[in-house]
Amino acid sequence: MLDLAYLLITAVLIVLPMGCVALYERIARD
Amino acid sequence: MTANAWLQLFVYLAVLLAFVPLLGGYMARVYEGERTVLGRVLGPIERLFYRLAGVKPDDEMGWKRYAWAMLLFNIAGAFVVYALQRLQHLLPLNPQHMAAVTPDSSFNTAVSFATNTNWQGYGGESTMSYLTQMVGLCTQNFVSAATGMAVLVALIRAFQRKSRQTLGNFWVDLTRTTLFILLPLSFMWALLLISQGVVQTFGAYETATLLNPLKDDKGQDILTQLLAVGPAASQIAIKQLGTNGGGFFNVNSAHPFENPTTFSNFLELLAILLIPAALCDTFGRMVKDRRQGLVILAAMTAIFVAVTATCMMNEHSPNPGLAGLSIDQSVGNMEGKEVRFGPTGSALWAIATTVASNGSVNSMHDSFTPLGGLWPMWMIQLGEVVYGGVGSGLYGMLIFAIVAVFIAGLMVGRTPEYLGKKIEPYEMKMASLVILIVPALVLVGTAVACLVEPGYKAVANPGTHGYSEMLYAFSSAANNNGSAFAGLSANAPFWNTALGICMLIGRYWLAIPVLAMAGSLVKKQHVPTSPGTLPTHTPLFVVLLIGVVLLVGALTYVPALALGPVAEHLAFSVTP
Repeated sequence: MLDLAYLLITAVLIVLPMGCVALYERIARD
Repeated sequence: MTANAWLQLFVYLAVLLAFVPLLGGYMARVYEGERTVLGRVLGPIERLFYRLAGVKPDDEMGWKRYAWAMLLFNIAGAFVVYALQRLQHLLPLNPQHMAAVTPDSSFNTAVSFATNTNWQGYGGESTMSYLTQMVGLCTQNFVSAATGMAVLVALIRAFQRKSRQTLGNFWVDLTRTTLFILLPLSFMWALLLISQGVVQTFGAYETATLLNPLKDDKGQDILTQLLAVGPAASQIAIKQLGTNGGGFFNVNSAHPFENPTTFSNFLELLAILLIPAALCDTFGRMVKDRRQGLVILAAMTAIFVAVTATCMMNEHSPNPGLAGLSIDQSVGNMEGKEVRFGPTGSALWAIATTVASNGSVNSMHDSFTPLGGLWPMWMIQLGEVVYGGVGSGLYGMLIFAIVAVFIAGLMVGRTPEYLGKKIEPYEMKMASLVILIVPALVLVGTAVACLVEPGYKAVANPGTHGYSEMLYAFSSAANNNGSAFAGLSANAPFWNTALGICMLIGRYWLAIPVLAMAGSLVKKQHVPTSPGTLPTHTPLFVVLLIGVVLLVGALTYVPALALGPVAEHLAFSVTP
């Protein structure tokens, strides 16, 4: 369980900024 | 500061700067896809890699595709290192039968090596199998460095190209960086280090008979000592060249098997700043104006010389904590230092390793005088832009250059433009993110660690020094440096997890805004130079750039530093 949690934290924190920039660009465009 | 100290600093800089045009020109040819001296040998291997991986080298990527390729590759790398540590007891090349690493330490180490930080909460010789060290950690030393350089090259192309959508191909940049730059240099450096006595073997640890037997706490004779060995030289070469810093052994480059001679010390020191400094010249060549690269290099070198000289001066002073203990301190503060390196060699390394996001050490920064320890910590906190990490240092400095252009534009009413590209609100928002995210991580992280029990209980020296240790740990992790102030029992779930999160955010939450900015800049036309253009190749711009870097660093961190090293220094002044 702990292994899965750590792997999930890793993946989420790596891809999160892409999501944030995409969201920002959508808000800025709208 | 002694004449010998000045001489060491001068010789080091002279040799370093002599290599800059040589390596800078070579790297520019590699990234421009031009013919190189190694092309005949490595070209077929490169093409074979592309065929095996199904990569089309001419397939140009927009910034989002480039970023996704980079992120997914890094996730995969972190997962492999995590799995290797958790399963190492079942895997081959484990002659010392190392047990599986705990989940929190595996997370911390996997993230640490994927992000080019190489913070080490573990002792290499007592924790990691040879397979984990080589396939996991050593491989990450190469590819994490190559990732930083790929992001930099994408940003440089954004300045270079006009009205385009694409920044290159991430897989090509990654492959060419690793194959044409990092591997040949590492091979050469590893051979040189082996010639100096750095160990390189797959054999099990050696047992040596002690010349002067000791007694243990039960009075039993200790006649032998187990000497940790292993494939160290190959890992040390890339740990320095790739500004990774993670030592094969726990005490890093203070260990005689990692750094046995004066020449090996010089070689490793040179390797730390070699690629980051040469990349400035690569940048100048790629944007077809070498003066632009020289301006950045001059700003970096000026800060480096001033801070190194000050730190050397501090370490040549006696340690006030040892005053009155009948210790000869005529050469300066020798606590935590190798006798063979002394205050000069230790301070020079400390600043080189902290300006460069390298993190390897040949002395213990925790034992520096309060002000001597302030400088390495502040160099990390400047954002690792003075030379900086391979790739990440220069893209960080280019962000500061954009901010400098913007501020100068505001002051004199000129249109902000850099290298012919207009700097508009989108670029400034991304630049602000890059500059603000890391200080937020460092300051909030340190504050939380001061407040919660698992945070402050890990400190062995409560008070101002313990606070400095915590501030240093968060600064090091969030800026992807990796060196430790020590004195902190950081191999515990709280610290492993908190610092791991800081490393992830400090790396990818900066790289993405940089690529987003590159994606915006590459679409723009070049603005012709006019009387309203601020020249960015002049000594005035060097001063402006240094001012912006130091001012942002000072405004952000001086209050935090005042509570740690400054307060400790003042306390010693009042009650020695």
